[in-house]
Amino acid sequence: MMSTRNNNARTVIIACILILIMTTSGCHDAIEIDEMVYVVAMGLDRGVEGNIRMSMLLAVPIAVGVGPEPGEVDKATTMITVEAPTIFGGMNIANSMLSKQLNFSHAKLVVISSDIAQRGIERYMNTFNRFREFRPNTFLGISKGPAEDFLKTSKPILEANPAKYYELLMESWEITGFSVDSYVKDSYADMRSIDSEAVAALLDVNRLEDSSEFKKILGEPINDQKTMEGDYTAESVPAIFDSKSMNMGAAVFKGDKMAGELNGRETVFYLMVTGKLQDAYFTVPDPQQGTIGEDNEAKFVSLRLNLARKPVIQVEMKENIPHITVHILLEGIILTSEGEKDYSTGEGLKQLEDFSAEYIRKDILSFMEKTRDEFNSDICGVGKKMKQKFLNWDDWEQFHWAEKYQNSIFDIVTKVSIRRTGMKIKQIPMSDAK
Amino acid sequence: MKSIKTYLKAIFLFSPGKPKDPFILEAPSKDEEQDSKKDSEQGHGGIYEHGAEKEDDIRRNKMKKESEDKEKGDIKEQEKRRSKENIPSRKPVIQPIPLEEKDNAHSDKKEDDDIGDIHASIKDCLEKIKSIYTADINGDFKIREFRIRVKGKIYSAFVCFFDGMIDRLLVNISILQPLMTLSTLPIDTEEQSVQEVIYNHLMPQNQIKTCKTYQEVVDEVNFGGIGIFIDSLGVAFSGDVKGWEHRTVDKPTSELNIRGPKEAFNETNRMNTALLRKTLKDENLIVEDVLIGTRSKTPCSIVYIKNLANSSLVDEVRRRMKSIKVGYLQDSGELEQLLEDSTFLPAPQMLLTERPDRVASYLGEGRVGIIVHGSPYVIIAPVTLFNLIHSPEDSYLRYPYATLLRFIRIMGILFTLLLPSIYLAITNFHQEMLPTDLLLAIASSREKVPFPTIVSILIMELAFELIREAGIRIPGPIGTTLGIVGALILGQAAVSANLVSPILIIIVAVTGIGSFAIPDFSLGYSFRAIRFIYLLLASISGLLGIALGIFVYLLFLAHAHSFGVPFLVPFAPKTTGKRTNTIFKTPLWKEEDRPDFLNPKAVRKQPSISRGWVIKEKGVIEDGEKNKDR
Repeated sequence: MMSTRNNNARTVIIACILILIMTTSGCHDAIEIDEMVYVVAMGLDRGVEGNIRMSMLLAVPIAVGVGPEPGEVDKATTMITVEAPTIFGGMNIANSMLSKQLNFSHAKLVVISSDIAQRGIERYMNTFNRFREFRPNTFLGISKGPAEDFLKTSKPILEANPAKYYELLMESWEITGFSVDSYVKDSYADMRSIDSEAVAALLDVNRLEDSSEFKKILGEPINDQKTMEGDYTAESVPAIFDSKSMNMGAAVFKGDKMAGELNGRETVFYLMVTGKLQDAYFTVPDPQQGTIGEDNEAKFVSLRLNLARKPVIQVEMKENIPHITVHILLEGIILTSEGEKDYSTGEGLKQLEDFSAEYIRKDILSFMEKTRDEFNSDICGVGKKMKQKFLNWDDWEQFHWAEKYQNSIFDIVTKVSIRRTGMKIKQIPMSDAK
Repeated sequence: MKSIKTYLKAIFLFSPGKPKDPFILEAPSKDEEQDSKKDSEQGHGGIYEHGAEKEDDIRRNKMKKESEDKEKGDIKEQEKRRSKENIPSRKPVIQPIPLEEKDNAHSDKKEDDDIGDIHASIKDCLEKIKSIYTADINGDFKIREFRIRVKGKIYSAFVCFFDGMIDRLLVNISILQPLMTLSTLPIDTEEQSVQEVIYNHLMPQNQIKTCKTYQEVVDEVNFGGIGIFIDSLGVAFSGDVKGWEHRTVDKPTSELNIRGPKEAFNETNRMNTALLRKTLKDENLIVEDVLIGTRSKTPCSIVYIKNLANSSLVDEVRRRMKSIKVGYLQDSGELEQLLEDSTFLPAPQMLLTERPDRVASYLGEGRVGIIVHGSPYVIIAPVTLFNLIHSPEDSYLRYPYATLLRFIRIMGILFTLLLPSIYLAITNFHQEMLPTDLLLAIASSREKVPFPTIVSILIMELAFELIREAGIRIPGPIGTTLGIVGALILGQAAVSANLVSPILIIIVAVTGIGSFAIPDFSLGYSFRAIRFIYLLLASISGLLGIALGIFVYLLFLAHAHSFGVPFLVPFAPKTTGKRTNTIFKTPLWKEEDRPDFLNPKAVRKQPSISRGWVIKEKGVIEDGEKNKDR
């Protein structure tokens, strides 16, 4: 009898404790989905008196629509801009204006103006890493102009959902190679580490009104080289579209401070050296007509390139100077060959392979030299290879890799293998046939 | 004050309660002597109990003693105080007689009334029978008086039976006709007594019993038999002439399948045992009859295969069945509740099936079946959770399909149990887990809904349960129509009235469909009920609550036993046997062993190569012996 009574009492008390634990620890956290407003993208600019100007692009769910009903794209987003000393201060101001509670858990993009980036973004990165609502896989972009303008001008035209727009825009590097994958978590890790430096996508507003203004950008060819399709940074791209946001090139950091920019083409080489290149259409001049002719019309060969192997980076210290060797093996498909010469088989194929390998080698070398001379920033992560040669951390810290990098000597080895020739097995010159 | 102290002590020391002496299924004994030794050593411990049991016992006893001592001491102190303050001590309370004893006394008395030896005089017999059956009021109780002539002497006699329960033709031809007419035949009966002559020559019926008490006759007559009384014998005869109306063998209604036999049990005990024998065709199949119900005397049968089922299991089933004292027993569903180990466990501990083939396959594994007269459902025991998620069709289907079906069924169970609560937890606590598109869609669809998600879910779940329950009650074809129409219209209307969001309708619908995929009816009920608890937990603390719920639920299940077999075996506790056919199916030729945890008398079901044709070369050794058939 006694034991049953004890058992009953025990059950009741345990149940009470469980209920107490659960009700006191949870419940008040509960918030309905429609009681929150979701920030899709956030821009940070420099305000007055050292404040930050936060622009938050908010998704308007009613306009996004449900089911088969199309939403109203124009009203899918709305923006709120506030100025405060800190990000959370800004959030407080915004929350006092908004009827719903701000939520960052679905933010896809953080845009920081280059003005701020050049002064250092450590304080903001710390915010992003500590607060649970910021996802580590939010994209980080650096806008050359004000971030507010970038968010204001970007319009999701092909999507109903603004979040999807930013996500896809920031992932376009996978097919073009003109931008970089810049998640907040990776950038934070690179900024913190002493082995490598961070990069971030370079964004800006396209300010051209009409295609007649393309001349301003293109100008005259430099050093007999025609301006190729990636030789731009985000602010000056010859393109006209309803949505003015542009994603091209990369912002290079040294520590937490922005040190310079890469244009789209250099970003392709950055992706090659770091092994992140997925698939990219890459144009090389026709090996036979490498220079621009009299009529200023060159012929080109377009390749689709991807990495056949992961790039091999070797570092050796000789007389306190790092000798860096990079082996890159690329595979390609001929997409088009504009000239008369047939590069599909035999001698022609070999010639094309050698030519494009050398062409790419030169460009990679000049890109690596740019990181050394102009930025003095080891964005390719060569330091990670160097670190492997040390047995303990203190030695590696004492080594001061960042200082050594500026004296490095590069040796780039590239090889291009053309695996397929597209839908054509042979090219017959049309002029001859006539 | 003292009692609170003891409560707290008991709670925080977590002393286990008094052991209930649970039944644990033991391995079949090889040596009787060893067995008895073991028993004395282990006490109630069995193969699944841990060794520390003994120490626990000692500690428990000590604690109990201490607390008792304390109590005694306290009472003495109180009395002292009372005598000091001149307060008269309380009157001693008269202990009431426990209900059990009272009942026993009563029922004994009653039975004494009923049982009496058959009178020698036919007049007395008639009086007695008339009084037992209140024959002047009972319209369907018939008595036929007649005379017979045995060994040249005429005796008065009568038969009694219930009209409608007996086969009239059989009574006429096999009982009355020979008694009344054949008794005049010249048979060499000099050395036999009158009773023997009647029994041996005058009743050409295959089941005649000689009864010495009225009770025996009454039991037979109540169950469609006939009572035959003859003057001056001092005994009566009872004959089995059952001929009541019953359903014929029909298709299963609740365990539908496409492949496999389509016979189902019906309400007649003997027909069910016959169906089973027809399926099994095994002389080792034992059908052991037990009567349950002090008044209804419902015939039940324990069925098992003699040289497979563990004897201790059969003993335990027999012990439990024989100990049951209820007035009336109508259905195996009632018997299940009387036999099960734990009443409050949210899971069935026995399997009820209406398919003879299913019973046969379980008996072939060494389990025990219980057939109850009047119920088309046969109880299988012991079962594990995994038996309950199997469908009878599984073994008739090819391995890949059956595996897929199992997988889908498990998905169905998870949907039923957790989908609404996970939806609730994610939308209320973990919004970051949703894809942004879905989040915005839910947010926009909820914009006009006035209720919190939990209320919307409860409205829809209750509506769904209502449709389901109502659908059963509504007769025939209207039922299914109402189910579908009701669900469609109600869902659509609820969305357009902004009571719930369209996504919620999908959640509730998938949950409902999932619950229909659970093969065991009883298990389905349990999951349907438990999902409301998960909803509550999710509304209180999100995924944390659900995780806690799953933890506690698994604790319950892991602690449960079905006739001595742990409910989650062979995973918790792990057993040594091959884990075939538990969650996923194994090819039929790979199911070589019977479930190890049942401790059957023969573990091996089939040789390691059960398909002889797969052996190509001559002289390949099969099971350690050369294949002699080749």
